[in-house]
Amino acid sequence: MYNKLTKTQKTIIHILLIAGSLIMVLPFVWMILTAGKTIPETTSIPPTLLPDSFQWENFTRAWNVLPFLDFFKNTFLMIIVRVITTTVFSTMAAFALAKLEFPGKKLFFWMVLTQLMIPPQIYMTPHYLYAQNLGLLDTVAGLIMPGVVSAFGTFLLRQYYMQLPDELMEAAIIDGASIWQVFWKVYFPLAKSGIVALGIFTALNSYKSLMWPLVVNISQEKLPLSAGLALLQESFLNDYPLLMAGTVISVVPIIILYIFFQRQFEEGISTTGGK
Amino acid sequence: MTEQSTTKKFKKNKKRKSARQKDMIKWAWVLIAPTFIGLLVLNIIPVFITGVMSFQSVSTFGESLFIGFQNYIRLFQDIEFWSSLKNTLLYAFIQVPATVVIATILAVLLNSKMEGLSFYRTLYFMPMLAAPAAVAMVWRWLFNSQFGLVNQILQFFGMSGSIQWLSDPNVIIWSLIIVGIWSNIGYNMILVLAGLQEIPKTYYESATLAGANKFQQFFHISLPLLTPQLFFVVVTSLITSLQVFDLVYLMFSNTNPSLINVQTLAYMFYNESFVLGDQGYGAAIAIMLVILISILTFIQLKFQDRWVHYDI
Amino acid sequence: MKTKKFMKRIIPFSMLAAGLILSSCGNTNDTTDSEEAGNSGDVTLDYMIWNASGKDGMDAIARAFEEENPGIKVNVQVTPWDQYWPKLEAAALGGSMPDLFVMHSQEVAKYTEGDVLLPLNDYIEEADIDMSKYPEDISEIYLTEEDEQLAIPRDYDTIGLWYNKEIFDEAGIDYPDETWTWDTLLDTALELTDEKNEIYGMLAPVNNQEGYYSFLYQNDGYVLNDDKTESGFRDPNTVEGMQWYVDLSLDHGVSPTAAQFADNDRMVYFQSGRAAMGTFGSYQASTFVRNEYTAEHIDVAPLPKGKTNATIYNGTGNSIAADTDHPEEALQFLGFLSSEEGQRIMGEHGTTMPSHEDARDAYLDAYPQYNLEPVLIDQLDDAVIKPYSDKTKMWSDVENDIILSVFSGERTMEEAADDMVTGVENVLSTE
Repeated sequence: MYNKLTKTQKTIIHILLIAGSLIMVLPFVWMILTAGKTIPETTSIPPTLLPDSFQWENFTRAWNVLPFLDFFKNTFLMIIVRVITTTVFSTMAAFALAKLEFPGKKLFFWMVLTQLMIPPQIYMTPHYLYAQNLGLLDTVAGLIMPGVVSAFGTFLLRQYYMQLPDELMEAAIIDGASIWQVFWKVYFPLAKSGIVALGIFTALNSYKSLMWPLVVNISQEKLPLSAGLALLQESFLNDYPLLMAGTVISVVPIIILYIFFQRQFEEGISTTGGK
Repeated sequence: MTEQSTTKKFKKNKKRKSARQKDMIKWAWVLIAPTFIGLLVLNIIPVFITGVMSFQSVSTFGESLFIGFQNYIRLFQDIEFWSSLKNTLLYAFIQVPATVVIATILAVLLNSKMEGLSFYRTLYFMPMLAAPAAVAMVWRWLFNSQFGLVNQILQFFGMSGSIQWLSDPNVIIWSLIIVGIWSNIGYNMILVLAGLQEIPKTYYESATLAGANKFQQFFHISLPLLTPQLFFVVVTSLITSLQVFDLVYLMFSNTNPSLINVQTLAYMFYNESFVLGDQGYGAAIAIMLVILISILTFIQLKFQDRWVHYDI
Repeated sequence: MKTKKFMKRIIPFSMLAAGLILSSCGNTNDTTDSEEAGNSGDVTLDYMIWNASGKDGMDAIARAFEEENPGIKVNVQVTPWDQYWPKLEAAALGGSMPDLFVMHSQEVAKYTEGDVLLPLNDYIEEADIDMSKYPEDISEIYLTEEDEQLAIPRDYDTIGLWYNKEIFDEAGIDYPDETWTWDTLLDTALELTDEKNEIYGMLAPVNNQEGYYSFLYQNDGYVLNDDKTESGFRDPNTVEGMQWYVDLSLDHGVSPTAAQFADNDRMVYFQSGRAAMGTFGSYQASTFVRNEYTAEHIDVAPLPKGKTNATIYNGTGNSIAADTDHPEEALQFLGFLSSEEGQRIMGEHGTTMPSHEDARDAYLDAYPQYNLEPVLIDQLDDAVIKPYSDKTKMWSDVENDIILSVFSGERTMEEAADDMVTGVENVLSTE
């Protein structure tokens, strides 16, 4: 609310926000503290709050028991390929849906819309069968496969293009531009922030997906981070220092990325979520 | 201009237009082709495959047999299915409203004109950045009944420090809900904040002149104007929360005596299809999940005009 | 939107991405190169196992075999248990199975159905392999109805009563031995349970193979009938034995409850010195020696006697993929794996207990700190093979669901027995 706040009001807001952020941050703090403890420290009663001396070796242990470098590499490849294909394909289809008239448009739009509501579980087994028949089980390509096109992205960018005036196209056509040029030179640059938003949304979603990686990939070197962490937990159920060190390793890079791209992240989320 | 020439010109125009139209159609099809083929192969056809599989007994190496409605009959007699359905609904119906309410309050606070607010925003957003696997592992550890921080804190404040967060059948679903809320607040908060920032300042200025206090301003200006955004948030959050899998999968093991009180439909689907290898039965569960989501989304769309204000 | 600034930031990342993509392509090339390198006549066999701590032993066998058989290389791959079966299944469907791999009673039925495993009968005859050297029950697991032998026994394991010497010493109580009965176990567990310090006398988790199955048979009960058509929970002895086991935690409080185990696995209690006794498979020896605490403070005794003596035992086998490119070499290596020599190497490395009669002492010698002989050898006379049928995994899941309600105290085993019988027999009837 935009009118001036009194000093007391400001203090109250700060107190509320600090209390809330404590709850949000505490798990991360506990994660880091645990990552620095020895196993006996974590299983003594009552548990120790701070590690006696910070056990950096837990991080090397975690890094060595599982191929974290491969996890990062696979996650990164999955994200990059999916972001490129979904943004390119979605922006093309979205432009056609928003600005062009063609037979089959209704059917196609309906196809896109219904997919927004359908849970991915329904595709899972058929996707598994595809991967199996194409020899993509246990490959990074198999990992990427289900996410190369996006109904959501198409819908989102269509909304974006709908907001842009039709006159731009008419003017360009009169100037002798082809449809492709209209799309590529005129509309595409105008939708850039929508495309970046979709890219971030796709990246976050791919980074977080767990069920498909669990289903399609088995070798440790072929897993993305999410499934790699699940494997870490399965293999070292009780070794909490090791587990927490593993989670720290997995979380730190994305937090760094977030700090770099904070505005894009948040714009990305709010654009994909609204309108 | 004579009538004749007009017709002529019109004809010519029409002819040219149809050439342009043909060009447009050609380009439109080229542009939609990758997405169209992708959606057809990766989404539409799989829906039908799963539909067919739900009427089959699927064998790994042998032949799959059609068994009519047997998978569905078995499903309706399976107590595991009914409790999974109950858990899924309970999770969605509590996690989503709670998250939206908390996120809205936070967004309103963060929308104040004050310094240092972006710092909080970063903190609240952090859970969004952790993979669910990481979130689940941390909370499994926090909730550990003997060595967990949560019980330690409760004990410190003089409350019972022996709550079995991860295994008491009456508590377990609430643990899942708490983690669900914790990890979704940041996302919803950003969405609501974006909505709030679109409300023109002039609305508040004139309200202040009319003598409305902060609460009145919130309930009479912010909230009604936010409803389209909130509606979107609720619809999409509900769809996602009905599919919750990763937290359940990672926080609770299959020797947990209270698993039945926390497992969700998506978890049951995964377990039947890929752990126990009964893909036909799994397909039936996936179909039920689609039906459930469709019904709930339809109801929301149907009743949106009761509370969502698109005008102004 | 400040696109330029954004692009500036994104460029280093895309370079990184391109680098990664290129380097990963490079990697794949490297591996194929190295595989194809070496003598052109060389054959490389892939052998897949699930036990990571057993890799040393398997590697040692592979090296010994390579020495005797120049021109054949063996590559041992480890895939953890949870992923081993999905991977093998996917590989079987995709025609890319490893040449040799370890088979288990819970899974073999599925592979019998699909003709995925190479029948070994001809080879056994040809190479004159004496099947009587291996436990008959275990060979039988891998024998189809058509009398095709699909695996040769690799190892076996029994269940033992592992105990914490330190806790016994402090209380001045004699260690468990073969004279123990259920009563001795319960009395001792009661005595050793120290609620104040959260030390438990016994560990009775929700675990069939290493937990309650042995107790059911000790009480003259059973899990499946001989035809594998009926559930053993029709028998009051089974129900009684189960209840006795559950009561260790629920009634007597000598064991953590199933709820407590959900938070902290039985190993946490045992390895932090907070449990005096627990039943564990003999194969846990390799885990125990690797933990500082259990390497020193524990030992093992045979299971106590109920109405009768019994322990669950089980054993894996080595199989060959039916579609292997090198059947001759694979059979040759299988022969070596199953021979006294190969089995002895496995035993010496403490991998698992060799199934070959004449090689077993090597394994016992590998663990001088644990008294495994009474557990693995003497108990064999009363050992019962781990119950299995074609759909073991599915009825085990049903069994697990129902048994959890008993462990949670929601109902007694007697009350749950009807559900158990119906649930398990429903699955059995579809076999």
